[in-house]
Amino acid sequence: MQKYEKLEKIGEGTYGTVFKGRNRETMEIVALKRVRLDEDDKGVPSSALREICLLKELKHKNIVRLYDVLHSDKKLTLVFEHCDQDLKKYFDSLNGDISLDIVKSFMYQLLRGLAFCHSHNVLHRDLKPQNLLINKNNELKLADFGLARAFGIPVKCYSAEVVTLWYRPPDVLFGAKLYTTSIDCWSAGCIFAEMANAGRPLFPGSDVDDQLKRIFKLLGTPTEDTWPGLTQLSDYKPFPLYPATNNWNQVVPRLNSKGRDLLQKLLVCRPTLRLSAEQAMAHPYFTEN
Amino acid sequence: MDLSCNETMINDENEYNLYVEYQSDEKPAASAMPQQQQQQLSNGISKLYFNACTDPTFLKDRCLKNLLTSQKRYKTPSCNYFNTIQKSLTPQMRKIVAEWVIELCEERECQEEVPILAINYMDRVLNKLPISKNNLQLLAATCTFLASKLREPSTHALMPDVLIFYTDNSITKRDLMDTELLVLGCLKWDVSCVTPLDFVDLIISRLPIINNYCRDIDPEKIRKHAQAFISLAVREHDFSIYSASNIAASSIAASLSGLNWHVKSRISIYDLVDKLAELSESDSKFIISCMNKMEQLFQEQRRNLLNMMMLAKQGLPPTVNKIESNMKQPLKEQNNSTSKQQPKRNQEAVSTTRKLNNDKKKKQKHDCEDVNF
Repeated sequence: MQKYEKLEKIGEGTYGTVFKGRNRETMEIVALKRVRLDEDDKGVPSSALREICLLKELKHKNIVRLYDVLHSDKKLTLVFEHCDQDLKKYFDSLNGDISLDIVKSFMYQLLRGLAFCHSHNVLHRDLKPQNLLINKNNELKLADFGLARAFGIPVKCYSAEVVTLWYRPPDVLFGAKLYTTSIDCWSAGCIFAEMANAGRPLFPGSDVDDQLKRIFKLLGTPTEDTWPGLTQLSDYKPFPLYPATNNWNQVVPRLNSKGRDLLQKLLVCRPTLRLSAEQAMAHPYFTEN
Repeated sequence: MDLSCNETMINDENEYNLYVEYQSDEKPAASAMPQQQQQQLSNGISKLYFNACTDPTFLKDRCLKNLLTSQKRYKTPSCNYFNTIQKSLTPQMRKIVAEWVIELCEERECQEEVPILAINYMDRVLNKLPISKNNLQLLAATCTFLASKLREPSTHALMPDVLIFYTDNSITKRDLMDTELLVLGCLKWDVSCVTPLDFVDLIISRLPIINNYCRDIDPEKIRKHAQAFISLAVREHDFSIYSASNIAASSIAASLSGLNWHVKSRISIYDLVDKLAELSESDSKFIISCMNKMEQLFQEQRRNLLNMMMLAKQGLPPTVNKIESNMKQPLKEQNNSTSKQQPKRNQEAVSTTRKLNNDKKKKQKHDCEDVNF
């Protein structure tokens, strides 16, 4: 550990404490994530294992860089590039006002990082503002790959490990058996709306039922006609038939029509009709002046 | 997403068809195909589409390209580490341990890629560190532990106690934890490997499988059978000369041949090989030699199974040796028909273990080092 000097604590990650650190040779500021290796149970935590091996492969400007893994008998230290804050904290500093250029830039970077993951067969599975880091140059980076996984063959889905409720798509809420890239695209859509509203979450549900109700009140309740196979999902249950809202300008008042169009194409209940990250990047919203 | 289809993918009951439909004596039909089909062969992605259960993003060309690039990084050593790095190990020992891993993963219902990943880790470690015969099973157990942790959701991952049980208590938790860090250091944490399984769907979706003569072949069945061939191949060290994509391509050729696709479609398997070679960025010669080896292995398995069945018919108990060599086969038929004998299979795994451990010595403690990359 002599290579890095430990500075103040930044926060608690999903599986360890995060400190600010400094490389003694280069004086570069880094983030040090400390993972305890408890003797009693499972060795290296699976989230650390996944994060390390996936991030080693995913080298991209919109994905947080992992520089080093140091291990000693009782602990593991992951050395990451340092970012000043996450998107959640960034929202908090806004006082309800965000520049639309920043929204567009962040959204594009989010999609670019995501498209890169997906083309390398990696699903993030836990996109939320807390896991998107922002540095001084307003560069956005996907972080916290503790739930992420590579998917060469279909990834079976277990309720134990899924995205945070507010960013979870209806197919997963209804107990879909397999994960696909569309799960991340839904979360990206939710984050897009949240950014456009300067940090007000789009679907802040309190439980699974409330979450689905909030989604359907906006998008309309899906039926077997609009989403074949819906009723066969393992946790499916009928909901009141809400009509789709037609006043999107109230949902995201500051977003222009192209932005609203992109949002509506990401927030599609039926997963196969949801835009992929790569398709979303090609949306006219990003090419207009 | 069509979920009814996903269900079938998970609980495929047709699995054992491979062993029923396979006709060894059939030579691939002579290639006298209409021009139209020849055209179909040469033109990119076929009309075959999956019943919406496969993620379209994943079938993109970019994904295939990225996988082909990154497979080089995880390539199992093609050089023969026996007699060089490993003085006390033989290919037979590696096979016994590989089968132990596969069997244990089958019994614990691990996801299909877990044993394949575990064996990949094991081969890569064996290519770097001399391992004594007594530590081989500890290494295999640790690799399985890691692969399971990586690919199973945390609630389903193999627990240390389970692995220790399967080694007949010949290793301790402490051994497992120490070896885990040693293996990770040796592999530089590169454990999210590309395996042949990763290529199967990507390749099948690009093959001109459906034509005017052959409209009803089920891609899911092709996939399942290819998977069974892959599982046969990972047991044998000889297959380490082939890349993951090569093994996948050959397994698909073997699967199509086993399903009599060449007869139904009137296209020779060998006419498909060039396309397979192109898609998997490997040499046609290697595709064919790997496929032949797979078919040969399969024939051996089948013979062993028939022998067993004959003995059973005559009411003779198979000899211990026969059980040893036969019970470790991936044949789902066995699994289906012997589901009640699970405890027996269990003992079988443990007895393999005894063989591996009978002269176990005290293991060295490995110091952990920092790894930089």
